[in-house]
Amino acid sequence: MRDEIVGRRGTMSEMKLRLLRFADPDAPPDLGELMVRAGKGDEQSFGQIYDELSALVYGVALRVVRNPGIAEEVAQEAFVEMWRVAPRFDTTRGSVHGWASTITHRKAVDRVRSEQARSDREDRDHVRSYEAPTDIVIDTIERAENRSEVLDALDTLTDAQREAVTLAYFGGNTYREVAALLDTPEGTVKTRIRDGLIKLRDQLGTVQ
Amino acid sequence: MTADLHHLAAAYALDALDDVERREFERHYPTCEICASEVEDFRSVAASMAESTATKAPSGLKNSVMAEIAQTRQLSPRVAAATAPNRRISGRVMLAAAAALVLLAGVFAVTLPDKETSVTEVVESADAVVTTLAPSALSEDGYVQIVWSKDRDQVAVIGSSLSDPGDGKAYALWFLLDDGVAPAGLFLPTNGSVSAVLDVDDLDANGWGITIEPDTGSEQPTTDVIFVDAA
Repeated sequence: MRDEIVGRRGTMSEMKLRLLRFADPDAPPDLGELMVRAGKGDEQSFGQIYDELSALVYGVALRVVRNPGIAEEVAQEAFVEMWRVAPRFDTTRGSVHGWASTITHRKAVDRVRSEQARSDREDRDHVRSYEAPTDIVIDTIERAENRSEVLDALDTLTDAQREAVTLAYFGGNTYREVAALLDTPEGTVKTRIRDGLIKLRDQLGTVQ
Repeated sequence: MTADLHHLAAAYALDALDDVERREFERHYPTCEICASEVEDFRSVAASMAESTATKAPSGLKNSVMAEIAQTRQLSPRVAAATAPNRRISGRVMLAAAAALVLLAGVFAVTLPDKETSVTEVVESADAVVTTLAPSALSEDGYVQIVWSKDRDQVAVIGSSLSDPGDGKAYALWFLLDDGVAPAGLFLPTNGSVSAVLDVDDLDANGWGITIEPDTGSEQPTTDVIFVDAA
């Protein structure tokens, strides 16, 4: 059940879940419904949302900031933000998973950049020691199926594209920083990121 | 610059723009069908990458989150009028009709834009509603976008290619209401461009209109409307 709920695409898995509920009246309500309730201040529903999204939110935070303690803080900030804006969540526009990952990634990146400003040297060492992109997956990952799908898709990119995309998204770097890290012109990096995402989009079939 | 902006959707979706470019792109993409659709697609890709990182969260996290949300006020829900300026009557007709009505009581205190609040803050607020205004037949050209945050009671006005309103005059932004219009504030372009934040009343507007008024403000439009909601 859990794997169904947190499938690769929120919309798809939420749809599956809705179907499952016909078969199983005891199944929990879907995320969209929980969001509506949470938007009315229902903390218990938000607790259920937490249960469904905590691995995603914590995983993104940890992947970007790297430090488990900081990742926990970032994940908490992201959840509190989700709670705050829940009344504005539009269930007709995109999945809860996509929304949660956008909020969390932005928080993680904001954190990385403010840490960077504060302790530039330390962070630079940290970034330089980052060995893109073969270790894209960390050990404690839960959903092997989805992981391998994304990995397969990443494999279709050129090395240069994959490096640019992962340094940007998982490394929390701006494309200018990626360009500096790779000693490559900014325009080239921008193009690699764009071409890489277009290829990933086609591979993952995420076109709406 | 504009051609450049069209290529930022991918980097934007990965949060890989610096603050300045992020701001510029966030101004641009809601008005650009291609970029808006790319942002949506690329965000889906990013979400898939995000899912691939899923990691069991520390056991204490849930309690901390639940404790904090119990003390955190939620935003007010968005009201329908804020998201759907769907009046078919043109702003021009409405403004003309409104001029014939007895307008809202009270004196309109004019405040020129507050430079302290950044446009970005308004644009990035969770409840921001973006409306692009179209030049009416009377204006030469130009482009104005209104970003409204009811939470903040603020409106960001972003515009370019605006003509000089003339000595002692300013652009005036109006709320279009069910029963008339209400002033939202004044702004002045610099070299044809404007990027300003206006503090506004909490009204249920159906749309926006822009006229040119004396820079001391007016309680009602005194000239023909030059920009209206495209809706």
